[in-house]
Amino acid sequence: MFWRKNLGITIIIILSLLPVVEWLRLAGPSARFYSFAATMASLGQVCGLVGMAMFSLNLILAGRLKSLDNLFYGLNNVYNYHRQIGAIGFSLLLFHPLFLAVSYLQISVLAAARLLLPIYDTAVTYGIISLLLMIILLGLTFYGSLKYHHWKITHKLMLVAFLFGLFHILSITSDVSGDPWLKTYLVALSLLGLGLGAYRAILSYFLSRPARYRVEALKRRADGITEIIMKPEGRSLNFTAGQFVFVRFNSRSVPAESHPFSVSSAPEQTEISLTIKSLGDFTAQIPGLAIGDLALLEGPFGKFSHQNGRHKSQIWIAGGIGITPFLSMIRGLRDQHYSIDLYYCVGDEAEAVFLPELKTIAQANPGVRIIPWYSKERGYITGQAISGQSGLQEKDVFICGPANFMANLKKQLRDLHVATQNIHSEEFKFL
Amino acid sequence: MKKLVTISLFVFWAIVTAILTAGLLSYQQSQAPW
Repeated sequence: MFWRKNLGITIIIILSLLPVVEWLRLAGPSARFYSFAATMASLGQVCGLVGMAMFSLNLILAGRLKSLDNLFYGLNNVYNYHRQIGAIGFSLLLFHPLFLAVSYLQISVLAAARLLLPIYDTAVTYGIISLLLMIILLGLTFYGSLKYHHWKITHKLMLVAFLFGLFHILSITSDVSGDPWLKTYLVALSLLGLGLGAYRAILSYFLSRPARYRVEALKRRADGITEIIMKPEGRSLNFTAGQFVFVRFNSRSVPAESHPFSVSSAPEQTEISLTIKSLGDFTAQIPGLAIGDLALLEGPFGKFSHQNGRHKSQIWIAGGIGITPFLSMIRGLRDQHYSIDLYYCVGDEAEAVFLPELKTIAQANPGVRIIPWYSKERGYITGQAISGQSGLQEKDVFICGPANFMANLKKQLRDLHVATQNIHSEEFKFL
Repeated sequence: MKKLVTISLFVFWAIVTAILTAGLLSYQQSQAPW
Protein backbone atom coordinates (compact mmCIF):
# COMPACT_ATOMS: atom_id res chain seq x y z
CA MET A 1 0.00 0.00 0.00
CA PHE A 2 2.90 2.37 0.79
CA TRP A 3 4.29 2.12 -2.73
CA ARG A 4 0.83 2.24 -4.30
CA LYS A 5 0.33 5.62 -2.67
CA ASN A 6 3.90 6.98 -2.95
CA LEU A 7 5.28 5.60 -6.22
CA GLY A 8 4.31 8.72 -8.20
CA ILE A 9 5.94 11.26 -5.88
CA THR A 10 9.06 9.06 -5.59
CA ILE A 11 9.43 9.16 -9.39
CA ILE A 12 8.94 12.94 -9.36
CA ILE A 13 11.68 13.38 -6.74
CA ILE A 14 14.10 11.16 -8.69
CA LEU A 15 13.40 12.96 -11.99
CA SER A 16 13.84 16.34 -10.27
CA LEU A 17 17.21 15.39 -8.79
CA LEU A 18 18.63 13.58 -11.83
CA PRO A 19 20.09 16.81 -13.33
CA VAL A 20 22.01 17.41 -10.09
CA VAL A 21 23.54 13.92 -10.28
CA GLU A 22 24.78 14.62 -13.81
CA TRP A 23 25.91 18.12 -12.77
CA LEU A 24 27.98 16.56 -9.95
CA ARG A 25 29.36 13.96 -12.35
CA LEU A 26 30.69 16.77 -14.55
CA ALA A 27 32.61 18.24 -11.60
CA GLY A 28 32.63 16.77 -8.11
CA PRO A 29 31.79 18.51 -4.82
CA SER A 30 35.42 19.53 -4.22
CA ALA A 31 35.38 21.49 -7.48
CA ARG A 32 31.93 22.93 -6.82
CA PHE A 33 32.20 24.05 -3.22
CA TYR A 34 35.87 25.07 -2.74
CA SER A 35 35.14 28.70 -1.73
CA PHE A 36 32.26 30.89 -0.60
CA ALA A 37 31.74 32.38 -4.08
CA ALA A 38 31.93 28.93 -5.73
CA THR A 39 29.48 27.53 -3.17
CA MET A 40 26.99 30.34 -3.84
CA ALA A 41 27.33 29.89 -7.61
CA SER A 42 26.85 26.12 -7.25
CA LEU A 43 23.78 26.52 -5.04
CA GLY A 44 22.37 28.93 -7.65
CA GLN A 45 22.92 26.34 -10.36
CA VAL A 46 21.35 23.55 -8.30
CA CYS A 47 18.30 25.74 -7.61
CA GLY A 48 17.98 26.49 -11.32
CA LEU A 49 18.36 22.85 -12.42
CA VAL A 50 15.98 21.36 -9.84
CA GLY A 51 13.52 24.27 -10.10
CA MET A 52 13.25 23.97 -13.87
CA ALA A 53 12.91 20.16 -13.71
CA MET A 54 10.19 20.52 -11.07
CA PHE A 55 8.32 23.12 -13.10
CA SER A 56 8.42 20.87 -16.18
CA LEU A 57 7.15 17.92 -14.16
CA ASN A 58 4.47 20.14 -12.65
CA LEU A 59 3.12 20.97 -16.10
CA ILE A 60 3.02 17.24 -16.82
CA LEU A 61 1.09 16.66 -13.58
CA ALA A 62 -1.48 19.25 -14.65
CA GLY A 63 -2.14 17.28 -17.85
CA ARG A 64 -5.04 15.37 -16.20
CA LEU A 65 -3.78 12.05 -17.57
CA LYS A 66 -5.45 8.77 -16.71
CA SER A 67 -2.04 7.14 -16.23
CA LEU A 68 -1.23 9.71 -13.51
CA ASP A 69 -4.47 8.81 -11.74
CA ASN A 70 -3.11 5.27 -11.34
CA LEU A 71 0.50 6.27 -10.65
CA PHE A 72 -0.42 8.71 -7.86
CA TYR A 73 -3.29 6.64 -6.46
CA GLY A 74 -5.92 9.17 -7.45
CA LEU A 75 -5.98 12.34 -9.52
CA ASN A 76 -6.76 14.36 -6.40
CA ASN A 77 -3.31 13.33 -5.09
CA VAL A 78 -1.83 14.48 -8.40
CA TYR A 79 -3.32 17.95 -7.89
CA ASN A 80 -2.20 18.07 -4.27
CA TYR A 81 1.37 17.24 -5.32
CA HIS A 82 1.01 19.72 -8.19
CA ARG A 83 0.42 22.51 -5.66
CA GLN A 84 3.32 21.44 -3.46
CA ILE A 85 5.83 20.85 -6.27
CA GLY A 86 4.78 24.12 -7.90
CA ALA A 87 5.47 26.06 -4.69
CA ILE A 88 8.84 24.34 -4.08
CA GLY A 89 9.90 24.70 -7.74
CA PHE A 90 8.95 28.39 -7.77
CA SER A 91 10.89 29.03 -4.54
CA LEU A 92 13.97 27.30 -5.97
CA LEU A 93 13.75 29.40 -9.13
CA LEU A 94 13.55 32.55 -6.97
CA PHE A 95 16.75 31.53 -5.17
CA HIS A 96 18.54 30.69 -8.45
CA PRO A 97 19.46 34.33 -9.33
CA LEU A 98 19.90 35.26 -5.65
CA PHE A 99 22.71 32.75 -5.03
CA LEU A 100 24.34 33.67 -8.35
CA ALA A 101 24.14 37.40 -7.52
CA VAL A 102 25.70 36.79 -4.08
CA SER A 103 28.55 34.87 -5.76
CA TYR A 104 29.06 37.85 -8.09
CA LEU A 105 29.50 40.11 -5.04
CA GLN A 106 32.99 38.63 -4.80
CA ILE A 107 33.77 40.35 -8.12
CA SER A 108 31.96 43.63 -7.42
CA VAL A 109 28.64 45.00 -6.22
CA LEU A 110 28.08 46.41 -9.70
CA ALA A 111 28.56 42.98 -11.31
CA ALA A 112 25.99 41.48 -8.91
CA ALA A 113 23.50 44.29 -9.61
CA ARG A 114 23.97 43.93 -13.37
CA LEU A 115 23.07 40.23 -13.15
CA LEU A 116 19.66 41.21 -11.81
CA LEU A 117 18.88 43.75 -14.53
CA PRO A 118 17.35 42.71 -17.86
CA ILE A 119 19.57 44.90 -20.06
CA TYR A 120 23.05 43.43 -20.24
CA ASP A 121 22.60 39.88 -21.57
CA THR A 122 19.84 38.38 -23.72
CA ALA A 123 19.96 34.97 -22.02
CA VAL A 124 19.71 36.58 -18.57
CA THR A 125 16.90 38.81 -19.83
CA TYR A 126 14.88 35.72 -20.83
CA GLY A 127 15.37 34.35 -17.33
CA ILE A 128 14.34 37.61 -15.67
CA ILE A 129 11.20 37.92 -17.84
CA SER A 130 10.30 34.32 -16.99
CA LEU A 131 10.77 34.89 -13.27
CA LEU A 132 8.86 38.19 -13.22
CA LEU A 133 5.93 36.61 -15.06
CA MET A 134 5.95 33.73 -12.59
CA ILE A 135 6.01 36.16 -9.64
CA ILE A 136 3.01 38.07 -11.01
CA LEU A 137 0.97 34.99 -12.00
CA LEU A 138 1.72 32.91 -8.92
CA GLY A 139 1.29 36.00 -6.74
CA LEU A 140 -2.24 36.30 -8.13
CA THR A 141 -2.80 32.58 -7.53
CA PHE A 142 -1.63 32.63 -3.93
CA TYR A 143 -2.71 36.09 -2.76
CA GLY A 144 -5.46 37.25 -5.13
CA SER A 145 -9.00 36.09 -4.50
CA LEU A 146 -9.55 35.18 -8.13
CA LYS A 147 -12.67 33.70 -9.61
CA TYR A 148 -12.18 30.23 -11.05
CA HIS A 149 -12.05 31.25 -14.71
CA HIS A 150 -9.61 34.10 -13.97
CA TRP A 151 -7.47 31.69 -11.98
CA LYS A 152 -7.46 29.31 -14.94
CA ILE A 153 -6.27 32.11 -17.26
CA THR A 154 -3.36 32.92 -14.94
CA HIS A 155 -2.41 29.24 -14.94
CA LYS A 156 -2.55 29.08 -18.74
CA LEU A 157 -0.29 32.14 -18.94
CA MET A 158 2.28 30.24 -16.87
CA LEU A 159 3.11 28.48 -20.14
CA VAL A 160 4.45 31.80 -21.49
CA ALA A 161 6.60 32.25 -18.38
CA PHE A 162 7.84 28.70 -18.78
CA LEU A 163 8.65 29.30 -22.46
CA PHE A 164 10.93 32.20 -21.51
CA GLY A 165 12.55 29.89 -18.96
CA LEU A 166 13.24 27.41 -21.74
CA PHE A 167 14.75 30.19 -23.91
CA HIS A 168 16.97 31.03 -20.92
CA ILE A 169 18.20 27.42 -20.66
CA LEU A 170 18.85 27.21 -24.41
CA SER A 171 20.76 30.50 -24.65
CA ILE A 172 22.76 30.73 -21.40
CA THR A 173 26.37 29.60 -21.24
CA SER A 174 26.51 27.08 -18.41
CA ASP A 175 26.98 23.42 -17.54
CA VAL A 176 23.71 22.77 -19.37
CA SER A 177 24.97 24.19 -22.66
CA GLY A 178 28.30 22.33 -22.22
CA ASP A 179 26.84 18.90 -21.48
CA PRO A 180 24.70 17.28 -24.20
CA TRP A 181 23.05 14.84 -21.76
CA LEU A 182 22.03 17.56 -19.31
CA LYS A 183 20.79 19.79 -22.11
CA THR A 184 18.83 17.00 -23.79
CA TYR A 185 17.26 15.91 -20.50
CA LEU A 186 16.14 19.40 -19.46
CA VAL A 187 14.94 20.41 -22.92
CA ALA A 188 13.05 17.12 -23.40
CA LEU A 189 11.42 17.45 -19.98
CA SER A 190 10.53 21.09 -20.69
CA LEU A 191 9.07 20.29 -24.12
CA LEU A 192 7.03 17.43 -22.65
CA GLY A 193 5.73 19.77 -19.96
CA LEU A 194 4.99 22.52 -22.49
CA GLY A 195 3.25 20.05 -24.80
CA LEU A 196 1.03 18.64 -22.10
CA GLY A 197 0.41 22.12 -20.66
CA ALA A 198 -0.65 23.38 -24.09
CA TYR A 199 -2.82 20.30 -24.57
CA ARG A 200 -4.63 20.85 -21.28
CA ALA A 201 -4.90 24.63 -21.71
CA ILE A 202 -6.02 24.77 -25.34
CA LEU A 203 -6.04 21.55 -27.37
CA SER A 204 -8.11 19.40 -25.01
CA TYR A 205 -11.19 21.47 -25.95
CA PHE A 206 -10.85 20.13 -29.49
CA LEU A 207 -9.10 16.77 -29.07
CA SER A 208 -10.53 15.18 -25.92
CA ARG A 209 -13.57 12.97 -26.29
CA PRO A 210 -15.69 13.37 -23.17
CA ALA A 211 -18.76 11.24 -22.60
CA ARG A 212 -21.89 13.13 -23.66
CA TYR A 213 -24.84 13.17 -21.28
CA ARG A 214 -28.12 15.10 -21.20
CA VAL A 215 -29.70 16.45 -18.04
CA GLU A 216 -32.75 14.26 -17.52
CA ALA A 217 -33.95 15.44 -14.12
CA LEU A 218 -33.07 17.95 -11.45
CA LYS A 219 -33.92 17.26 -7.83
CA ARG A 220 -33.67 20.36 -5.72
CA ARG A 221 -33.02 19.28 -2.15
CA ALA A 222 -32.89 21.31 1.02
CA ASP A 223 -29.73 23.14 2.15
CA GLY A 224 -28.91 24.41 -1.38
CA ILE A 225 -28.26 20.93 -2.76
CA THR A 226 -29.16 19.95 -6.32
CA GLU A 227 -29.06 16.39 -7.61
CA ILE A 228 -28.51 16.27 -11.37
CA ILE A 229 -29.55 13.06 -13.09
CA MET A 230 -28.09 12.64 -16.55
CA LYS A 231 -28.71 10.14 -19.33
CA PRO A 232 -25.91 9.09 -21.70
CA GLU A 233 -25.93 9.97 -25.39
CA GLY A 234 -23.88 7.13 -26.80
CA ARG A 235 -21.19 5.67 -24.59
CA SER A 236 -21.64 5.80 -20.84
CA LEU A 237 -18.88 6.09 -18.25
CA ASN A 238 -17.74 2.99 -16.42
CA PHE A 239 -16.82 4.07 -12.93
CA THR A 240 -16.20 2.58 -9.52
CA ALA A 241 -18.39 3.76 -6.65
CA GLY A 242 -16.67 6.74 -4.97
CA GLN A 243 -14.87 8.07 -8.05
CA PHE A 244 -15.24 11.59 -9.44
CA VAL A 245 -15.59 13.11 -12.90
CA PHE A 246 -14.87 16.49 -14.47
CA VAL A 247 -18.08 17.93 -15.87
CA ARG A 248 -18.64 20.82 -18.26
CA PHE A 249 -22.19 21.93 -19.03
CA ASN A 250 -23.36 23.41 -22.27
CA SER A 251 -26.10 25.53 -20.79
CA ARG A 252 -27.48 29.06 -20.97
CA SER A 253 -27.27 29.56 -17.24
CA VAL A 254 -24.09 27.73 -16.23
CA PRO A 255 -20.58 28.77 -17.37
CA ALA A 256 -18.84 26.27 -19.68
CA GLU A 257 -16.12 25.48 -17.12
CA SER A 258 -14.83 22.04 -16.24
CA HIS A 259 -15.18 21.21 -12.53
CA PRO A 260 -14.66 17.98 -10.55
CA PHE A 261 -17.55 16.35 -8.68
CA SER A 262 -18.01 12.95 -7.06
CA VAL A 263 -20.53 10.71 -8.75
CA SER A 264 -23.40 9.98 -6.36
CA SER A 265 -25.25 7.28 -8.31
CA ALA A 266 -24.54 3.55 -8.22
CA PRO A 267 -22.17 2.29 -10.96
CA GLU A 268 -24.66 -0.17 -12.48
CA GLN A 269 -27.27 2.54 -13.18
CA THR A 270 -27.52 3.77 -16.77
CA GLU A 271 -28.09 7.34 -15.59
CA ILE A 272 -25.35 9.13 -13.72
CA SER A 273 -26.04 11.51 -10.83
CA LEU A 274 -24.03 14.39 -9.48
CA THR A 275 -25.07 15.91 -6.17
CA ILE A 276 -23.84 19.48 -5.87
CA LYS A 277 -24.18 22.03 -3.09
CA SER A 278 -24.18 25.76 -3.85
CA LEU A 279 -20.90 26.82 -2.26
CA GLY A 280 -19.17 29.04 -4.84
CA ASP A 281 -19.63 31.11 -7.98
CA PHE A 282 -19.97 28.09 -10.26
CA THR A 283 -22.04 25.82 -8.01
CA ALA A 284 -24.43 28.70 -7.26
CA GLN A 285 -25.44 28.58 -10.95
CA ILE A 286 -26.19 24.84 -10.93
CA PRO A 287 -29.88 25.17 -9.91
CA GLY A 288 -30.36 27.15 -13.15
CA LEU A 289 -29.64 24.10 -15.32
CA ALA A 290 -32.46 23.03 -17.59
CA ILE A 291 -33.72 19.61 -18.63
CA GLY A 292 -31.98 18.61 -21.87
CA ASP A 293 -28.80 20.64 -21.24
CA LEU A 294 -25.67 18.91 -22.52
CA ALA A 295 -23.08 17.69 -20.01
CA LEU A 296 -19.58 16.62 -21.09
CA LEU A 297 -18.04 14.21 -18.61
CA GLU A 298 -14.33 13.41 -18.40
CA GLY A 299 -13.09 10.58 -16.23
CA PRO A 300 -13.65 8.73 -14.04
CA PHE A 301 -10.78 9.52 -11.68
CA GLY A 302 -9.78 8.76 -8.11
CA LYS A 303 -9.19 5.77 -5.85
CA PHE A 304 -11.53 6.75 -3.03
CA SER A 305 -13.67 3.63 -2.90
CA HIS A 306 -14.56 1.04 -0.29
CA GLN A 307 -13.36 -1.53 -2.82
CA ASN A 308 -9.80 -0.23 -2.35
CA GLY A 309 -9.89 -0.81 1.41
CA ARG A 310 -7.85 -3.57 3.04
CA HIS A 311 -10.70 -4.70 5.28
CA LYS A 312 -14.39 -5.31 4.71
CA SER A 313 -15.07 -3.87 8.14
CA GLN A 314 -15.08 -0.14 7.47
CA ILE A 315 -15.95 3.24 8.96
CA TRP A 316 -17.19 5.91 6.59
CA ILE A 317 -17.21 9.52 7.83
CA ALA A 318 -19.02 12.15 5.74
CA GLY A 319 -18.90 15.86 6.57
CA GLY A 320 -21.85 17.70 4.96
CA ILE A 321 -21.81 17.46 1.17
CA GLY A 322 -18.86 15.03 1.57
CA ILE A 323 -21.63 12.42 1.66
CA THR A 324 -21.68 12.26 -2.18
CA PRO A 325 -19.04 9.52 -2.79
CA PHE A 326 -20.60 7.50 0.05
CA LEU A 327 -24.00 7.82 -1.64
CA SER A 328 -22.55 6.13 -4.71
CA MET A 329 -20.86 3.45 -2.58
CA ILE A 330 -23.90 2.65 -0.47
CA ARG A 331 -26.38 2.82 -3.35
CA GLY A 332 -24.25 0.29 -5.23
CA LEU A 333 -23.41 -1.93 -2.26
CA ARG A 334 -24.30 -5.51 -3.20
CA ASP A 335 -21.65 -7.40 -1.22
CA GLN A 336 -23.31 -8.50 2.06
CA HIS A 337 -19.90 -9.24 3.64
CA TYR A 338 -19.17 -5.59 4.29
CA SER A 339 -19.67 -4.23 7.79
CA ILE A 340 -20.02 -0.47 7.56
CA ASP A 341 -20.61 2.31 10.07
CA LEU A 342 -21.48 5.49 8.18
CA TYR A 343 -21.17 8.67 10.26
CA TYR A 344 -23.22 11.41 8.59
CA CYS A 345 -21.91 14.62 10.17
CA VAL A 346 -24.04 17.75 9.68
CA GLY A 347 -25.07 20.75 11.72
CA ASP A 348 -28.56 19.55 12.57
CA GLU A 349 -31.29 17.20 11.36
CA ALA A 350 -32.52 19.70 8.75
CA GLU A 351 -29.14 19.45 7.00
CA ALA A 352 -29.19 15.63 6.96
CA VAL A 353 -30.81 15.70 3.53
CA PHE A 354 -30.03 12.08 2.61
CA LEU A 355 -30.72 10.51 6.00
CA PRO A 356 -34.14 8.96 5.09
CA GLU A 357 -32.68 7.26 2.00
CA LEU A 358 -29.60 6.05 3.91
CA LYS A 359 -31.80 4.58 6.64
CA THR A 360 -33.90 2.75 4.04
CA ILE A 361 -30.76 1.23 2.50
CA ALA A 362 -29.46 0.26 5.97
CA GLN A 363 -32.74 -1.53 6.77
CA ALA A 364 -32.24 -3.75 3.73
CA ASN A 365 -28.57 -4.40 4.52
CA PRO A 366 -27.82 -5.67 8.06
CA GLY A 367 -24.11 -4.90 7.68
CA VAL A 368 -24.74 -1.16 7.36
CA ARG A 369 -25.27 1.19 10.31
CA ILE A 370 -26.11 4.85 9.76
CA ILE A 371 -25.00 7.12 12.58
CA PRO A 372 -26.14 10.73 12.18
CA TRP A 373 -23.95 13.23 14.04
CA TYR A 374 -25.35 16.71 14.66
CA SER A 375 -22.57 19.10 15.60
CA LYS A 376 -24.98 21.74 16.95
CA GLU A 377 -26.04 19.23 19.61
CA ARG A 378 -22.89 17.19 20.23
CA GLY A 379 -20.01 19.34 18.94
CA TYR A 380 -17.69 18.20 16.18
CA ILE A 381 -17.17 14.47 15.84
CA THR A 382 -13.91 13.14 17.33
CA GLY A 383 -11.77 10.09 16.77
CA GLN A 384 -12.40 9.12 20.37
CA ALA A 385 -16.17 9.16 19.84
CA ILE A 386 -15.81 6.99 16.73
CA SER A 387 -13.48 4.62 18.54
CA GLY A 388 -15.97 4.28 21.41
CA GLN A 389 -18.92 3.57 19.12
CA SER A 390 -17.37 1.52 16.31
CA GLY A 391 -13.89 0.44 17.42
CA LEU A 392 -10.91 1.13 15.19
CA GLN A 393 -9.00 -2.14 15.16
CA GLU A 394 -8.64 -3.90 11.80
CA LYS A 395 -10.83 -1.37 10.02
CA ASP A 396 -10.43 0.96 7.09
CA VAL A 397 -11.60 4.52 7.67
CA PHE A 398 -12.88 6.60 4.75
CA ILE A 399 -13.29 10.35 5.27
CA CYS A 400 -14.77 12.96 2.94
CA GLY A 401 -15.71 16.50 3.87
CA PRO A 402 -14.28 20.01 4.34
CA ALA A 403 -10.45 20.18 4.43
CA ASN A 404 -10.20 21.11 8.13
CA PHE A 405 -12.72 18.42 9.08
CA MET A 406 -10.62 15.77 7.32
CA ALA A 407 -7.27 17.07 8.60
CA ASN A 408 -8.48 17.12 12.23
CA LEU A 409 -10.01 13.66 12.04
CA LYS A 410 -6.98 12.14 10.33
CA LYS A 411 -4.68 13.52 13.02
CA GLN A 412 -6.95 12.21 15.78
CA LEU A 413 -7.14 8.78 14.15
CA ARG A 414 -3.37 8.58 13.79
CA ASP A 415 -3.05 9.57 17.46
CA LEU A 416 -5.35 6.62 18.22
CA HIS A 417 -2.85 4.36 16.37
CA VAL A 418 -4.90 3.82 13.22
CA ALA A 419 -2.36 2.88 10.52
CA THR A 420 -1.92 5.56 7.86
CA GLN A 421 -2.60 3.05 5.09
CA ASN A 422 -6.00 2.33 6.68
CA ILE A 423 -7.07 6.00 6.48
CA HIS A 424 -8.49 7.05 3.12
CA SER A 425 -9.58 10.58 2.37
CA GLU A 426 -10.90 12.43 -0.63
CA GLU A 427 -8.90 15.65 -0.72
CA PHE A 428 -9.53 18.04 -3.52
CA LYS A 429 -8.60 21.67 -3.60
CA PHE A 430 -6.83 23.72 -6.21
CA LEU A 431 -5.16 26.19 -3.85
CA MET B 1 3.03 25.88 0.88
CA LYS B 2 1.73 29.46 0.87
CA LYS B 3 4.05 30.15 3.82
CA LEU B 4 7.04 28.81 1.85
CA VAL B 5 6.19 31.00 -1.15
CA THR B 6 5.68 34.06 1.10
CA ILE B 7 9.06 33.60 2.81
CA SER B 8 10.80 32.96 -0.52
CA LEU B 9 9.27 36.07 -2.07
CA PHE B 10 10.24 38.18 0.95
CA VAL B 11 13.87 36.95 0.86
CA PHE B 12 13.94 37.52 -2.92
CA TRP B 13 12.63 41.06 -2.55
CA ALA B 14 15.00 41.89 0.32
CA ILE B 15 18.17 40.62 -1.39
CA VAL B 16 17.32 42.00 -4.84
CA THR B 17 16.53 45.41 -3.33
CA ALA B 18 19.74 45.38 -1.27
CA ILE B 19 21.96 44.41 -4.22
CA LEU B 20 20.33 46.83 -6.66
CA THR B 21 20.55 49.70 -4.15
CA ALA B 22 24.19 48.90 -3.40
CA GLY B 23 24.86 48.61 -7.14
CA LEU B 24 23.24 52.01 -7.79
CA LEU B 25 25.30 53.66 -5.04
CA SER B 26 28.46 52.02 -6.35
CA TYR B 27 27.66 53.21 -9.88
CA GLN B 28 27.01 56.79 -8.69
CA GLN B 29 30.29 56.82 -6.79
CA SER B 30 32.19 55.59 -9.84
CA GLN B 31 30.58 58.35 -11.96
CA ALA B 32 31.24 61.15 -9.47
CA PRO B 33 33.96 63.61 -10.67
CA TRP B 34 35.62 64.00 -7.23
